[in-house]
Amino acid sequence: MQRVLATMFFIAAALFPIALAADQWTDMLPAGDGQQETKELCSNCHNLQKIVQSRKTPQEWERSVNDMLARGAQIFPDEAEKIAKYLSASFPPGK
Amino acid sequence: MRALVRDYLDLGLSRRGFLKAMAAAGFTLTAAESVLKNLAPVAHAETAGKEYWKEFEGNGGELLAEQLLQTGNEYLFVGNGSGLGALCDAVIDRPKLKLVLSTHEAHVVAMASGYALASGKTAFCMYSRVGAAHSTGNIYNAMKDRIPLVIAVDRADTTEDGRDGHEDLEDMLEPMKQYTKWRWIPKEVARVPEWTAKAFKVASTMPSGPTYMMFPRDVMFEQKAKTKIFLPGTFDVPMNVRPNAKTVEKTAKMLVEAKTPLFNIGPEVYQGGGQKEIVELVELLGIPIFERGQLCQVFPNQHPLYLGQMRGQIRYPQNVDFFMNIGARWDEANESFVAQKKIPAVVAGVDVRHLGDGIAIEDALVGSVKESLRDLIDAVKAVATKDRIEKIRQSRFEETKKFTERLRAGREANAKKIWDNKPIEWDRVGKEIEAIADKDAIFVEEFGSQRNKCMDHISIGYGAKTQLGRTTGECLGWGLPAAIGVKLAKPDHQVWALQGDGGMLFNQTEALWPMRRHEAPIITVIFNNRSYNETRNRMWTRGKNQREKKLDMISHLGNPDVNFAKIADAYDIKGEVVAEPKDLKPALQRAINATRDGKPYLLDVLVTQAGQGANMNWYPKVSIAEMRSKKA
Repeated sequence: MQRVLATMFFIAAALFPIALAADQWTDMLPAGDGQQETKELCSNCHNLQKIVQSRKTPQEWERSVNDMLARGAQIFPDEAEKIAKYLSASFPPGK
Repeated sequence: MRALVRDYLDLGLSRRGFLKAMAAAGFTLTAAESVLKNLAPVAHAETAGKEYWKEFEGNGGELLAEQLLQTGNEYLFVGNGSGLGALCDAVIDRPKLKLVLSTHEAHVVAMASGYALASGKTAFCMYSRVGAAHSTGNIYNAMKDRIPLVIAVDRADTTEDGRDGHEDLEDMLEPMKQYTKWRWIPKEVARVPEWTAKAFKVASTMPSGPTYMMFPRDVMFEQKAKTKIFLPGTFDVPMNVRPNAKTVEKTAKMLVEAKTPLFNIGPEVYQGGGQKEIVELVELLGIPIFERGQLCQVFPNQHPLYLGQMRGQIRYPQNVDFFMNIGARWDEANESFVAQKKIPAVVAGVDVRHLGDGIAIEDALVGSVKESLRDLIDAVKAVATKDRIEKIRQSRFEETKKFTERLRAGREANAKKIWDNKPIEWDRVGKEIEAIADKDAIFVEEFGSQRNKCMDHISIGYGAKTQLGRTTGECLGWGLPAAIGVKLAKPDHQVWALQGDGGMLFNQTEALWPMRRHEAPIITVIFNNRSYNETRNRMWTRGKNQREKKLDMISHLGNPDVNFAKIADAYDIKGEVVAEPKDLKPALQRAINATRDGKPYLLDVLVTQAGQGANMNWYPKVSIAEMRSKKA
């Protein structure tokens, strides 16, 4: 249900191109193991627009999360792995 | 007593005031008088027989040169222009002054900026007025970075100006208004030294910044005067200003009583000479610390208390109950956890125009950050016993150490995982440089968003290697010439210029000319990912069409695929392209060997792209050749 809402939100945002507040992007994360970590840790540095709007393979998501780690994000390796798995399941190519 | 003696010697405290304050501090009158007796020769030496100026007769160029000699400047950073003729004539007879020449005005300013940053001196540069427009990018950078520069250009004769004449506009000072602290046209030759001294005084007084003068050609070449040259020490404003003592005491108490204090520091701590003191203070109380600002790494980046670059929100520590911002400009402050959670904040520094921007200030330590930190350390030791301080320190220090060690272990593991990737990973370049660089090396970098991937693996900050750059203003085209200025200021240190390919292509290939001309043994490493990686990511995140259609409209740099080693060769500088990860280490060693022999060396290292649109290598083609209807 949450994913349907997220899709509807995405379509609405596309039709009505207004800037969304940072917390609205956060609200568009579907439920799942890793949602909380993604919400809390990723948004310390940036809003979640780039996550919600991206579609990537598991390798690409792992690469992105590790890239953030290398750029100074305060994320531990076990959390990075969990976030990468969550993003792979939630935002795969073609979805 | 240390503080009272300093006040007495700085002439801020009278003899009677000194005796009274000593009595209040518990000293007997005899003891206080004995201290005064010992200080007398020092105090009188400050002013006895002091000369404030000397007389000199000459034309504008000679008067300028005479005044420059009194500033302690050995090097004058110059570009070519016929308006410099009178100064050049004067320099010939004054061998203490040496000209450092660049072919581009922006590089003249960047060389002077690097010199000022590394030496702590106020640097002087001069070039043609029509080249001033070229130079504004790096004057803007200097203004943003509070770099003390005196910039001079020539101007039309006083008999011709104001007529929109040859190489002239009606108001050529106006465009510099936003980029400089003070501007002037010295039209009276007798006052050339006075205004030059003023330009140095304004530029060097913190918050420092560039000043700008336009010297009319007739004033420089033909007009003569017998006038005063100001001697050293007569046009400096001492900036060892101490903060209000009551605020220091209040802040010390807040620091001791806070359960979870947090510091954020910025470049003013480096520029104000307070690096040693900030390390001492946070170690004394075990305070975790962030940095904000990219002009230099102030705090040692491998220190257990160092948390990295300050963001709007933080993960650690939680429940911050006291916040100090020392010498940092923090433009996200009003949306940060500090504002949201209404955390009591004390700010410190001399940049009063921006002190505490965006947050509600509980109090402010206005003055030199070095003096403020020194006074705070003394005050903390006065308001809490040694045992209490140690108790406070230990628990905080260990907790933060655990957190930062875990983070670093994650980054190390990550770097290991991608070690053999091709194109070469930024992390690997950083680690290979760390392994091979001199312990007191200086890095002048001009990276974008990939910076930490490299620099987090290099030990930089107080007590370690030095990192200068990227500029706060981020106007690209600064790093290479700035590195030349740094090497001039610190010839016995190994100097590295770390550049992206995008930054290098912002006019910087010409900076290889002064590098070769002045035989500056600098190791230049181009991190060549054939892309403006940062801008592509920013555009694709906030915009839609490029991202959805996967079209990289303006960020791909791979066509033409620039070979920077070949460009270096054209300037008679040796270099090589490094494409294979295994070739990096021996190439770095060759670069170091060359610089030890007194020669610059350039490495063009092919590194990874990252983020959205990485490795697309597409660009919208516009071919003029294909537009032709005949083979013209």
